[in-house]
Amino acid sequence: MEFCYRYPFASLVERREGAAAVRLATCDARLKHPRFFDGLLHEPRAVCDLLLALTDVVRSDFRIPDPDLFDPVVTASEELLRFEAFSSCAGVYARIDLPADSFSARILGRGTTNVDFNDPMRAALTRVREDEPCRLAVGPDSVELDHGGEVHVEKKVKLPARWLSGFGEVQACQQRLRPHAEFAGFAARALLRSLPRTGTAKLPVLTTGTGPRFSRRDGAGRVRVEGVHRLRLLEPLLASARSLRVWADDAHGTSAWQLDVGCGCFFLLLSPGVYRGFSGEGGLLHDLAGAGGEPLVASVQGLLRWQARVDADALARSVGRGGHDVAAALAALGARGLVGYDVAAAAYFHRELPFDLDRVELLQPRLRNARRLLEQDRVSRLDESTEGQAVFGVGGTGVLHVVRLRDGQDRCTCPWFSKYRGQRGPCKHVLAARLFAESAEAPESPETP
Amino acid sequence: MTPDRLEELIRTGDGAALAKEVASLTESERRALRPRVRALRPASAAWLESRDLPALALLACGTAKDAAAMWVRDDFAVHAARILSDRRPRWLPAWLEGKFYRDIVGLSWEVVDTLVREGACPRPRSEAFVHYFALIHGPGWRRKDTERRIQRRMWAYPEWIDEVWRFFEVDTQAFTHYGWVPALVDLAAEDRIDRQRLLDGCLRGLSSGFKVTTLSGYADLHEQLKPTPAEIDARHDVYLDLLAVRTPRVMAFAMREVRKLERTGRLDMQAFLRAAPRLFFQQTKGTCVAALSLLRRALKREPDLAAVARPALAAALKHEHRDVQGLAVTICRATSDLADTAWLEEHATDMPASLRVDPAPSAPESAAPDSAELATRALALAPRWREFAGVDASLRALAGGPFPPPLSFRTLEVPLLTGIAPVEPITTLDELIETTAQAVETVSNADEVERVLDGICRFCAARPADFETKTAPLRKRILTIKTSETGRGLLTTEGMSAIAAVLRAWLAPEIDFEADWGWAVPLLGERMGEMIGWVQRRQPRPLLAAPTHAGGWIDAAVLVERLRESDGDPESADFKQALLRLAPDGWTAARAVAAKLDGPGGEALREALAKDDTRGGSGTRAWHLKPGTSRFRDEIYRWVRMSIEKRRTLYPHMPWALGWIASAQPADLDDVLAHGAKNIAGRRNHTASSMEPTHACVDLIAPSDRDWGDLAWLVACLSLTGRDADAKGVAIDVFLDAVDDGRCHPEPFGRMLARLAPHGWLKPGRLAKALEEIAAASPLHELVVANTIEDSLANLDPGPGLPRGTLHVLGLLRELLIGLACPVGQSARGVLDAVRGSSKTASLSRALLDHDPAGPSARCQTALAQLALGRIERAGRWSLSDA
Repeated sequence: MEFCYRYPFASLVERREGAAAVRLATCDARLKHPRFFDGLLHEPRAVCDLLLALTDVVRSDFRIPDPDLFDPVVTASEELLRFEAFSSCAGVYARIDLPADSFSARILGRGTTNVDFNDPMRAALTRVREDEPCRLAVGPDSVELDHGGEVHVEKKVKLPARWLSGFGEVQACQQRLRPHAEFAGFAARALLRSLPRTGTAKLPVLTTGTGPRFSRRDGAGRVRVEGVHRLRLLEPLLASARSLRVWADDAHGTSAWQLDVGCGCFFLLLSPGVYRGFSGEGGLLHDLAGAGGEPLVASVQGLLRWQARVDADALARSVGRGGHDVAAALAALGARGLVGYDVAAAAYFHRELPFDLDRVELLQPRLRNARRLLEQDRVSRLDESTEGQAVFGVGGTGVLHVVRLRDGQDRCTCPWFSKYRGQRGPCKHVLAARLFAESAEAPESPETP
Repeated sequence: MTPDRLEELIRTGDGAALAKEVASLTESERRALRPRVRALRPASAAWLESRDLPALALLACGTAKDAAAMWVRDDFAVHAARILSDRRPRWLPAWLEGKFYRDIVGLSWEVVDTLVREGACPRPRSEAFVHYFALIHGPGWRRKDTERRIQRRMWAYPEWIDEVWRFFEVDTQAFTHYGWVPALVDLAAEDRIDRQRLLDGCLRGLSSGFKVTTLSGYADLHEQLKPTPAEIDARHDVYLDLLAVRTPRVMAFAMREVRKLERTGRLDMQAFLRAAPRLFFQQTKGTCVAALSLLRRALKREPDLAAVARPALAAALKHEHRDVQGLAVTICRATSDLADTAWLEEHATDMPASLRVDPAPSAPESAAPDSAELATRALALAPRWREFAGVDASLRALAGGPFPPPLSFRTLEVPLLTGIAPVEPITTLDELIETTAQAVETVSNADEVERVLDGICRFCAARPADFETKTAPLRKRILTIKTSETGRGLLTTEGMSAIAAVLRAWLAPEIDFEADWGWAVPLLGERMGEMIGWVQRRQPRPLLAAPTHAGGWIDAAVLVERLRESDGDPESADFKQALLRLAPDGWTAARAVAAKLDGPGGEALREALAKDDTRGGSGTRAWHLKPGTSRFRDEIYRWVRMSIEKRRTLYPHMPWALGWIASAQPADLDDVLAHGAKNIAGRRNHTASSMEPTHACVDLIAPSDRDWGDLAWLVACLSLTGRDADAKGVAIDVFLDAVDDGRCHPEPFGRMLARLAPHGWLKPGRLAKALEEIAAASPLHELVVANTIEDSLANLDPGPGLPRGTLHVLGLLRELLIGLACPVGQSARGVLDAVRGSSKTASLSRALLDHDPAGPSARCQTALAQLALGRIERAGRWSLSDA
């Protein structure tokens, strides 16, 4: 997708009368350069370190050198200022959460937009000192708006589909995470400093039996961390780390790491492999395939008010539906970039990505191919279906794949499924069989909200 | 001009004449000439050189596409430039910029200069041009500019000299590989370029996020320019800002300049102390020590700076290097305003025991097992298992006796099936199809391979009506999969084509397949051959040699049962393999059942299970290791020996394949371990590799009932001190478990380290780091590691003195002994006493000898209780077999 970042000025760090001012330029065609935030930071050095760590993530590509750089997005609300970013390879998702007590400020706007992170600003961020007052401004001020600004910044980038769909996918990934451990700052430093300096071929696992360490032997209660060197992105924040929380999804191999540095938190989500961006994890495919809940999704969307924590129960009461339905609707909104998920709070937050994700389904090749299989009438139900298990034949290239749909244990005979064993979501054959089964079971009258 | 005239000009070979004659042509005239010129172009040339007249003519008459595939870089470039400047086609600026983006630019500088100077093209502004500019004027890749080429070029083209400033904005190799540093120094000395601007440019570049090599180039240029004290003073604040750049090279550079400022008395110490905390966020030691030394001098001169210095010292106390922490603590203790014990203790969690006010460990530890309870549990154990597991010796140590001796059990003397997971056989055809399909893509361990082979042999005759439908995708996959496919599957692993033959015999018997049989262990190959015959004939049967437990082991009772249900041919490879995998558990009961078996198979099994009362255990004996008592055993033994000697490769790329080969004779891994040790030693200075994994060999010694002979110790110790993070990681895991279960004992461990040390096999720094990781696990691990270091010192050859780098290990020993509150053992005191001089090693030796805490500490007692508990648990597990 062609995308053009248009900023009224380049983000910069100014120094006037002994005070520093970090001014982040924002860009959003829909919001017409809103001014979100303007305030004094209580711990300027720590916040600048967090922003620098975020730029490290943006500049990272763990597969190829010289990556394209895609700017982070910022979401402002009364309770939190959040920055989100992806590595260029879309295998690392990072988020900074700055709670309201980390600054003295007035939130001037609510919404989500891109922020310009350029090299000179990055260099200037390193020079901000702890003992000097520091103002953080997100967006242009009125004077610049009136005059149109003197320096306009335009960065044309080609946002890859994997990068865009990854933003939706991480919301689904985070919901599957379970708390694994929490370590004090000194233990976090010792753990992350023990990361191997050289490459590894064998999968390291985090074990917490007698203090945290990276082991090479898998087992129950251990967190698999493929591409453990990606955790080096946390190194610059270690000195100020107060605690480290770890979440893991044992079934899929995703892990999340959150450093608390006092004035805020830095959250890092790692994909199950260095060569596996989040976009290919397929966690959203079932949600995207089910189109029956559109009216409910619209109702839920209508109740979003830039909440830093969406109360799903309250939403369920408002729309008069069950918690499960609302959770599914929120998941669908997450896939479209309209809500994010905060695993630490175990809740969604409202933010609308400044990209057009309405056609996110087009970014999902497996779903597209599954629909094509249906259109070509290559799905049929086989006789051996039993109670609790429906068996389908789905035409592949020269062979018929047998798909068994069981609650949470779908199976397919294709090589892709055999290779990943369901860890990367359903294959196109399973999706096609699901769609076939749902269309066969769908009530004749349309669902009412 | 007519086409004939143009062709005539081309044939004369006079480029100047050609350029002159085409100068006044209009675009339509050029278009008319184009077909003739294209016809003259050499058909085979993908790229045209401008020294070819047809190519030159193509520049004059051709399109952008024609010009794109042309190198303009020789003596004729001047004619090419003239032609293009006279013609000025619309595509010219884009053509010029496009050239800079090519991997091989193929463009003479004269062309660029002419086109820009004469106004045919605007001055290029792209980053690619900056790279081109740096390269085209330099002497070449990493060559010295002995002919002062760059200076001469800059003298010749003074209007281009401003491009130099872009070297500080674009990440180029101008200062690292293209030789611009001495040239710019000379140009600055000649006043042809602004020296102050160069110095500022270097400092601006150093704060950019460019590659480390580029940053090194800026630092080099700055150093070569030799800034005067006044110039350094003028940039005082910039150097302090650079202390915050998170690149060790830049920090080191900035620190050097700061020290120059200090020496001239121009350093604003308060500003330095405010900037210094960021310096300690980096891991390198040298710059941090330099900063702390400067800080110490400053505090000596001005003690009032203590308050400002506190954040920097706090950051230094959290540094990962012990020397940096040590220096910070020394400074704090020497400064009255900082010698606040409570403040230091706030940072104790990040510090080693020797630097803490209270050396007790900061991390909470689990409660020590109660010794009375341990004694009670020990009494409930069967005497022979208690003795085998060394329980009584460990209880005596807990009561104040000597450290217990190492365990001396052998793998085949203990009921090892109590400590390893069973392998569940495949039960249905559907499960077999699914498991095989998964194994074709990825094999997680060797047992999975045996499950698949056993399943195929048992279900080879099952052909339900939908068999073809169900197996079609798998059949297609095994017929089309390429061995070049990356993966960890059954069929993509080198040397495993015999398994592919079994799969083909099951699913595609009609297609001929030639398997490569010249692979690792012929016994396994011959067994595959037997399977292919059974599967092709559709004679279903359970494999006698299918493991019942992980690692290839077979429960004797199950083997007897299998033999009772099917004919066992003692000459078959499957039968021989089954005997080689026989676990030592439950032979008494198995013998009773085997007594009723008929035929040669039963006779062979009874002979294998024959009672041997030479040692305790369950009446088993290591018959695998004692050839010659019967023709049959001797034959098997000779065969396996020969198989292993003849193998071509024992180390296929996939770790599961090594596990499978090792499972051919799980009772005796010496050959596998010998080759493993050789490979690990060969790769000890290499990083981990997925192509030559060495960690799989270390995994083989992990099971808790695997006894550790010299080869196992060798493999473990070499892995521990190698650079291969995978082998080292697995070795650390194995040691952690082995300390807990009692197999890792300081005596053999220290002896092996001492044997390796004189020959340069050990890197003491690496060894100390690995041992530190092991010791961090528990008080028992601390005690075992400390005793191991002492034992290794005691076993060292006293002649040549301590090996180089021993101070790393001594440093660790000191930390451990302070934490455990134990003195150095008598065995090591003599070695340490012999170290003389003022080196760090000598200081550490003296510090160790001076460390003399009163009486055994609670932490030592906890360690001994943990040791006793581990042995009691082992004996308890073995006792389960009696039940």
